[in-house]
Order: sequence, then structure tokens, then C-alpha cells
Amino acid sequence: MSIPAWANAWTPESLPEIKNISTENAKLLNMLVEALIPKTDTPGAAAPGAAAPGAGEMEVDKFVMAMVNDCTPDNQRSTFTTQLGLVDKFSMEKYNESFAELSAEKKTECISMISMNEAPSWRSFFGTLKRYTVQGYQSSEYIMYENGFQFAPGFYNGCVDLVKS
Amino acid sequence: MTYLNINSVKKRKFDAIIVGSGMSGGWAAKEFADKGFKTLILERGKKAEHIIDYPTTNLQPWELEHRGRMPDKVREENPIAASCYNFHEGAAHFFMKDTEQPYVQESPFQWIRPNQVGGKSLLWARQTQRWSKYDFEGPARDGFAVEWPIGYDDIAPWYDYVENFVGISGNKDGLDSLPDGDFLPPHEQNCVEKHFTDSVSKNFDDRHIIIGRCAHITEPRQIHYDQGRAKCQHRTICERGCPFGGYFAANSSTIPWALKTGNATLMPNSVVHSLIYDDKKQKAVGVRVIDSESMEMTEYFADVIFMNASALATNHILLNSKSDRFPEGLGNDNGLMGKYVAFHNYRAVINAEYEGFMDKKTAGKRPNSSYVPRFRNVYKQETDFLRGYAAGFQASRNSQSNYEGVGKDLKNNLAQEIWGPWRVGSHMMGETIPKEESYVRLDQGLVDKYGIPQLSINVKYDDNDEKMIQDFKEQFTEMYEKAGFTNIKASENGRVPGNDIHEMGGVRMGKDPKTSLLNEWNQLHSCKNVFVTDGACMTSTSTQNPSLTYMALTARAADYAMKEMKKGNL
Repeated sequence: MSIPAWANAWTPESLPEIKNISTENAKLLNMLVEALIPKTDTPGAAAPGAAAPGAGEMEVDKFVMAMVNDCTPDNQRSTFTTQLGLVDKFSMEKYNESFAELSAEKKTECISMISMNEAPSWRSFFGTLKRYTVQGYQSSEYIMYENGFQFAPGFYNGCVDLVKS
Repeated sequence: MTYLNINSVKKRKFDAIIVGSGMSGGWAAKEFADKGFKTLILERGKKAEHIIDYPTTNLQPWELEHRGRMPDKVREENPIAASCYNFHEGAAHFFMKDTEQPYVQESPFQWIRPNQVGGKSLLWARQTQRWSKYDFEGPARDGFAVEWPIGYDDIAPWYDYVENFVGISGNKDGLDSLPDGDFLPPHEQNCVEKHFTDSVSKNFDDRHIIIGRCAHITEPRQIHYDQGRAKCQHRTICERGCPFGGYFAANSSTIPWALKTGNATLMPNSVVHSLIYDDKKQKAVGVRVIDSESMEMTEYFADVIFMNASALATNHILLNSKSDRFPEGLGNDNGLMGKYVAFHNYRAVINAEYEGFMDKKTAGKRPNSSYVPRFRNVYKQETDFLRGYAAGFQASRNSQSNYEGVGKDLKNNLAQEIWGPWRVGSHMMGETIPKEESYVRLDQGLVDKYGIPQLSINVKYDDNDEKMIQDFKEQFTEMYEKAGFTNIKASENGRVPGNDIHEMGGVRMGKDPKTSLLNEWNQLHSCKNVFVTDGACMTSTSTQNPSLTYMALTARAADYAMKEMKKGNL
């Protein structure tokens, strides 16, 4: 039995999962979400959960794009994709380097500058990016289990001690 | 599952035809099949076999592409279905699309419809409070609609009967306004709910807060194991369909039970067009069914027909069942069919905070909440509006996050648990008064893709509802204040009739054929072999979530029908 050529190379990862966005911008979006919520690997840092993968490694960008494509008003979506295409220009103006070329610290610094930019288009872009990145990160498998998620707890106790972490 | 494609009339002849496979239809099917009657179950929606057809049941939250939210395009194409709180990625496939069988809104009405075997029993909120004698006596005492032909004593043994099979958890609260049953162990009220319960009973002689009675198996009995059901696992994603059968759905309980007897045949994709009335025999002899896939019409025949299509769909089918004898719809001699439709008023909510028990929280999950049985006008008329309202009540405490910053700052902020005050909330469930001007009827021009005239709906809030909303806000504000709750906010949610999914009436029960359509056994007065035991039969609505009462009425009517059949009367 023969199968189509494409099927030989088929893996879940090889399927185009992100719609309505160029490959370059998809990579850029992945870097942006990672810069927004970066990997930290210092156990015992400021807070529990700090030693955790970043949003980029968790591929939260795929969730961001799914929400932008399917659950975001047209004008907000088009602003998002337009501004995404301008992130490198923004980075070149500030650092004379593309966003991808920046160090991890500078990437976060660059994101921070975008977050403080008063232009309505950047405000809209950053608002969309942060809202969906935080939502995707907080509802990721890793973080939900960190926070004590139980799919089928099998019980309810109406009054237990709150032990503050 | 058997699919019929046989043309001989003999193969299309049954003892009983059940129109609808949901909450009440499942019970009719189980009762007839159990007693050896050859039973045909017709379902307009698609097949939905227990577990096999629950595609989202084991998806983790992060496995839902949009974390539950349905894409805007789907929501825009289905504004009616999307108005339901359960229309999300976990359960949207159990809803009927708006374009499937459109209807006319003479006034805003959101008709929430399912589209598979089991109907809304997969999607329901699972609250199962009994009616009391005060609820049945309402119309006669207060002079609206017509007198119920039955009272609490008539239905009490049938509440016992269905509750045992369904599995109802709850406390024996000893309230005459909300009779007890033989319950499975109750869920627990949390500390703030207990505090509210104590505060209310201390300050108000006539008011009680209880843990809701709900259709969850908290401790299985043999009868539940016999159905292949097990203990509820507290996942609280019930509307996706439960692989444990932890809550009651026709799919996990009555329908497979009926099929297991070998006496029942289940036909999905079967849109009932109308009932067939035989002038010579002076009874209904069968139904006309359109296969929703092939669009072909086939007739099926039976000695008795049970209408369990859901309140408005049953009205729709009966109104469309025209014959020389019944030109205005089967059994509609008095012209009242489709009229006196009512619903439950869910329009007001009241939220607040509580800063007690700050060293406590809850653990696990609970598929239930506390419940405030109706306390207005129970024993006598005491307000400037008729009847009253029940209410849901719940308290919860979850940690909040700080979303400030970017980079490591943001990440650290997100990791901090911020424990604020408890949050409490209540929603009203008000009885509405059935009125002649609240009606459904066949549209004179528009038809759906099956060639069936569209249903036209005109059901509105009235002045009594507005007064009741005000009273709910005032009374609960006072109850909240006495309990020490703060930041109290009473508000209206703008829900339109139908969105409560408790529409009832149109083919009401009553004592007099001149003013009602059904007798005390849910038989059409003028066509005794047709029984209506879904929400369409309701003379009034009271305040309780209605499914349990539909199930009890169905089992009672089926028992009567079978006895009459054995006597040769049907």
C-alpha cells in the first residue's frame, strides 16, 4: 500500500498550525511572548513558579494567534498583524538590531518600551499581546498543575485552612 | 442501535411511539420498554451514544483551542444558541444551529435547543427540587390560569420513584414548601454559605437556605450500578457528557436502559412533522417523520403516542397536526393550544463580598450550590405581586493574580497568590404568570427546510415580573446586610424570555376540557391516546427547576397508559 508523499513527512509539528501570519512573523511572535514571560531557571527565586519555562517555550504564541484569528474584532486583529510587522523596525530604531538579534534582556526591555508607547496602534497591539499571552500562560498545563489543578478531584471541602505561600 | 429502513406497515407498527429522547422522553421509553411494550423512540437530532459521542469529555482546559471560547464567526452565525452559558468549546456541538429550524420572534425570545439523543438532559443544571402542595395550589388560590387537576399527593410517589433511579443528593431539610425525598448524601455548604444560612434563619422566621438537591450520584446504590453509572468525580464539566454517568442524563440512564430490554428502537435524525389522526377510529394512529438526512417522509404507527419533544416543540408538532376533525391542531377544540406559555424569570442577580473566614478557603470542586426555597406568598398573599421566587446562592474564594509588568517582573507577579475576600452571589428564579397573550402559533407564511410552518413566539415579561425583580433585590440586599456582606451590588442581566430554558405550557393540564388541553393523566381531552408529559403540559411554572417534575409526571402517565392499554381502553 502506498501513501501520499506528504504523509511520510507528517508530524504534528510539521502541520501549519498558525493561520494568517507569515513564517517570519510566527517566529517573531514566539520570541515576543517569551520576552513577555521569559524562562527562568533559578529555583527559589522571588516566588514559587518562577523557575519555569517561558511562554515561548510553551508555544503560547499559537494560542495568541488562535485568539487573534478567531476571537478578536476585525479592526483589532488587523492592527495586531500590522504592528507585529513593525516590531523589527521599532527594534532597529532603538537598538540598530532586529528583535531576533537582541539579547534576552534587551528583548524584554524592547517589549517594555513598546508597552509604554502611547500611539494607539501600539497600545492596541500590546494590549492584545499581553492579554492573550497571560491567558494562555496561566491556563497552560504546566502552570495549572503548579497552581494545584485537579481535573477530577472527586471531593469538595467547604472549609479548609488557607496556608499562604 | 437499530435503524429502520423497512417499508412494510407491520414493521412500522409499535405499541408506543415516544416523540423525543430527552429528560421526559427517556423516562417514557424506559417505562414502556421495561414492561414489555414495543416502543419506538424518535429523536430529531443526531445519534449521541453514552461516552462514545462525548468528544470533549476528557479534554484538559489547555486542550481547548480557544480555552473554551467559541470563535466569533460561530457566535455571530448562531446568536440564539450563543446566548446560552453552555455554548462553549466543550459543549457547543450539543446545541442546534440557529438556521436548522428557524422561528419567528414576535417579541425577543431565545429558544435554546439541543440537537441529539438525550436532548437537554446532557446540558442541564441538574437541580432537582420537588414541587410542594403550595406550588400546585397556586393558580386556584391566586386566581390565574386554571386549577391544576392534580396535587402534591398525586405526584409524591412518582417523585420517589424517579428520584431513586436518577439519584438525587440532598439533605432532609424538613420544609413543607420543598418536600424531602430519599436522598443520597448531600454536598457540603462552605463556611460562608453556612454563615449565611445561620444569619438568615436567625433574622427571618420564614426563610431557609439549604444545599441544593441535585441529580448527582454522591454514593451509588445498586440501581445506579445496574445502569452502568458510578460516583460523581466532581469534575464540574458535566455539560460535555459524563463518562462516569455521575449526573443523570437520558444518554447514560433511561435510554440505554430502554434499549437493553430489547423492546425499544431508537431512531435519531427523525424530525416529527405531525401526528396522524384517523377520523373513523377517532384517535391518533401514528406520526409522520422526515428523515433529516434523506428528507424523505415515512409514517410510523402506534396505539399510544407520548409527546416529549420539549415544551415548545411539542406545541409546534401538535399545532401542525391538522385534520378534518382538528383543523386547528390535534386536540385543540377550545383554541387554547399554544397559549398560556410561561417561563422562569432569571433577570436579577446580587453579588457581594465577605471579609469573614479570611483564614479559610475551599478545596476540590462542587457541581452544586446552595438554594433559597421560595419564601414569598407561600402560605398566603402578602406582597403586591403574585407568587414568588427561589434563588441560587453561592460563596467562593479564589486567589487573584497581579498582571503588572513585563518579563521576569510579570512572571513573578503572576506567581503570587493574592487572597482577597470571599465572593458571594445569588440569582433569582421567579415564577411567571401564564397568560393568554403569551403564546406560540404557526406562522402563516414562513416554513423551514422540512416544509413545516415556522413557530411564531410571543412571550414577554409583565408588571408582576418587574415587581418581583425589585422585591428580590430589596430582600436579598437586606439579607446580605444582616449577614455582614459588603460591596453589595444588585443588578439586572438583561436575559430575555427563553434564555432561562424553562419555557412551559401551551398544552396545559386542567379539569375542564373547555379551558385546558390535557386531563389529570396528561391525556389530550379529545384524543385520549396522545399524552403530553414534557414542559408543554404545565399549568403553572412555580419556581423549581422543572426537569424532576417532568420526569415524575411522565412515569405516572406512562403507568396509567399501560394499565389502560391492558384494559383495552386505548
